[in-house]
Amino acid sequence: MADSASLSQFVDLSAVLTGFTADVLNPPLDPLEIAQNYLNFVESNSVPGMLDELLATFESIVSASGGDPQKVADGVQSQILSVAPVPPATESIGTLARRIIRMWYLATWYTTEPPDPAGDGQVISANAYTRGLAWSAFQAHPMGYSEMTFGYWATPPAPPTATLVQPTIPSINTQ
Amino acid sequence: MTMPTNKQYDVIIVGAGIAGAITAYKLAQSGKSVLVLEGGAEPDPDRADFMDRFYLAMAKTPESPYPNDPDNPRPLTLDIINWNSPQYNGYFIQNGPIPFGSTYERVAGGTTWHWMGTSLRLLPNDFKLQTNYGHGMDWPIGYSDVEPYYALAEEEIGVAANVVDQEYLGLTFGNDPTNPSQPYQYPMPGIPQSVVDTTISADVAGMTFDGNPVTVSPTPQARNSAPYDNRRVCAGNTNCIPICPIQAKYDASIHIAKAQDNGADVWFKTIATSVTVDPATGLISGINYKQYQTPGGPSSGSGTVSAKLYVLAAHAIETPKLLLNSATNELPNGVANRSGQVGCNLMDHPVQLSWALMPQGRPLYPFRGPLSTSGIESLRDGAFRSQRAAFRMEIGNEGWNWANGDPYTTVNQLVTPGTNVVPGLTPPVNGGMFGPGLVREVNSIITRQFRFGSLVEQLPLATNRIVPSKTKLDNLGIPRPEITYDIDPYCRAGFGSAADAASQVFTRMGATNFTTFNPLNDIPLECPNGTFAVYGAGHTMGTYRMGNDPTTSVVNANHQSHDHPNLFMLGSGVFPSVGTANPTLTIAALTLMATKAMMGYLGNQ
Repeated sequence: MADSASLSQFVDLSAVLTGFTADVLNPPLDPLEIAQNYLNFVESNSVPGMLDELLATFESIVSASGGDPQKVADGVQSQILSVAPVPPATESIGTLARRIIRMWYLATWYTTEPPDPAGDGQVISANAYTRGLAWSAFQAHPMGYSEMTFGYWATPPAPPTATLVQPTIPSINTQ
Repeated sequence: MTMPTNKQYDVIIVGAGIAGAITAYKLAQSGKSVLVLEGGAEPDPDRADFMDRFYLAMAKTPESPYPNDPDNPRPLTLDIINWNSPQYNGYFIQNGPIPFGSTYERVAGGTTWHWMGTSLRLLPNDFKLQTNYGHGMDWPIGYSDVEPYYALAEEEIGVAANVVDQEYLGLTFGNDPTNPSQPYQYPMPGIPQSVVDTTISADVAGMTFDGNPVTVSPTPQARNSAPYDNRRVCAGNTNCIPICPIQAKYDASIHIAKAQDNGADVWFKTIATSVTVDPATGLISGINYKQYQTPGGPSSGSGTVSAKLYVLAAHAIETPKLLLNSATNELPNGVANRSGQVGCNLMDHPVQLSWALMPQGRPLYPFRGPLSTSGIESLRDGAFRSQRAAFRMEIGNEGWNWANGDPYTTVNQLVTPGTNVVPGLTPPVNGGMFGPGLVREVNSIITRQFRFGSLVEQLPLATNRIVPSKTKLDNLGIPRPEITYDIDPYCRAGFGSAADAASQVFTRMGATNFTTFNPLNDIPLECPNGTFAVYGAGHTMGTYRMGNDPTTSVVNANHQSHDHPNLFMLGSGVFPSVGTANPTLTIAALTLMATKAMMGYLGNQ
């Protein structure tokens, strides 16, 4: 399975894709090891070699960026997310990147593009469900998994913290 | 499973939902020997298996936490839309013209596992719909008869509310029946309103609809606002349906345990198949049952049990199915069916779902708190009921989860390239949204989502009925329910008004109405002002109604069969008309009322 170097790359790419910082995606102490589990899941559920291609492309974007987060974001947009599958292939590093975004947000692995709401999708694990990022993006919690206390709903939530919505500088290792 | 066969029981109860479980508890507590026949398995006090099944379900339907069991089958939400497709393989046989849209659980504890917890009382005028408005049926009892039992039921299941918020449209609360020198108070203080509730409440101040005020009221809820009955306070998991993770919401497994603690026997995985009658006395003489051990496996045994008194509490589909499946040469119409009304008058609260987006900069932060904490209750009664059905507008705290499958649908739309299906978004982004822009857009849209689910009053029709199928059997060879169902013009007029009311509220709030009817995914309901999607409320009612006249009703005001004095039937099947209150609290109140009559019957033996 993936070594620590590719985990670090995967988390850095995921930060750019999701807008959540790397330490939110992969906390120093994570008993659920969500990031590692997601990396393993992607490796097992994508076209062989495509994850390597995706991470290599990301690495080259980072290297060429000179550490400028905007250049990284632009590169991810133009060199990853804009890459469409070349028929007869139905998958590309672009579709794989979007699956990774959806996985982090919704704890769900979709295999159609766009996802077919009637038939597509697999919840990755019960633990993953409780860590879906979409819920924190709108300042709530996964339905059925509240860590709040009685009555919290009577007042607006705290403003979004910087770690949630201001990750303009992902923790990119440029070396 | 082992079970005594030589024990003599005072009472046999079919079904361990809220009605059967409370009855078992009350009768066992008073020293009666009680046997409960329950089709489902014994509930696991640790609900982790249910939670895992819920977490892993793609479609988080009301049934999703609970396992399918072909030996004890149930209707499923996802089957309803396919009711007339060749591939349909659901539990109900649906004759239409409209598919019956509500489901229920056949597990120990019944549908309270996945109920919302809304614990409204019926209004005084709900009991007199025919007398006051010329529609439907009156009840043989009035609000004043039920009022003390409402209070007792609220204590029994643990309802949180403040009386001052609930004194509308003729509702009175009187004194505390257990302490008559004191004015009644709910057993727990009210649940705080959500930001969604208070935002709507402020915006509709002074508004009227059809001449009636539009007022938001906090909802009485069977969930804990303080520690109660050895259960925790609500943590706002926003998951009352399909399952409360921490049992802060009442479910009837609580009363199953209390009944057992007081000596009641419960036979799980035991399904009543027919009721037998002694032709000489007209009394019920026994209940035949089948048992199974392994879900989906063969029947592991069958038998007959007898007692002095029989209570059917299997809800408004299975109870009439059982009675009709008990037909003999002597009783060709089935047991307790002199009136011919058993299985007829099937009703629901057809739900009108309307959803909208608040303007930019005015979030109301859904997906927080219990699923619903308030409703617009001021439109539940008025002179308009001579013309059209009443409704209550439940306010959802789950954004467009029900309406649009969110957050899944919106997130997927934002990520997918070139799609821009939520109007009002910034122009589509090549390659789809990602990074901080995606976070901001998800936040901006979903924090502004809200919806109303209006529960519309439906009239009893003799032609809306459930019968045991003559040809379609379940895994144990028991007939499946065959349902013929339509929605009357009075209800349709109210349904259209509910859509109008929601639309007017949205306009007043400056919100954009996104309510749509999707012919591919929705059941259509033609109303005077348009075609709308119709959903079931999960409220199955009316199929063995109570009344004073044995030729037009099945049970009397004590829930006792007109035909067989030692047979009682509980649950919303007894409702002659349905008003607009979610039925469970009324079921519990009437159960306590009936239990008193049962004790009287047993005392007279």
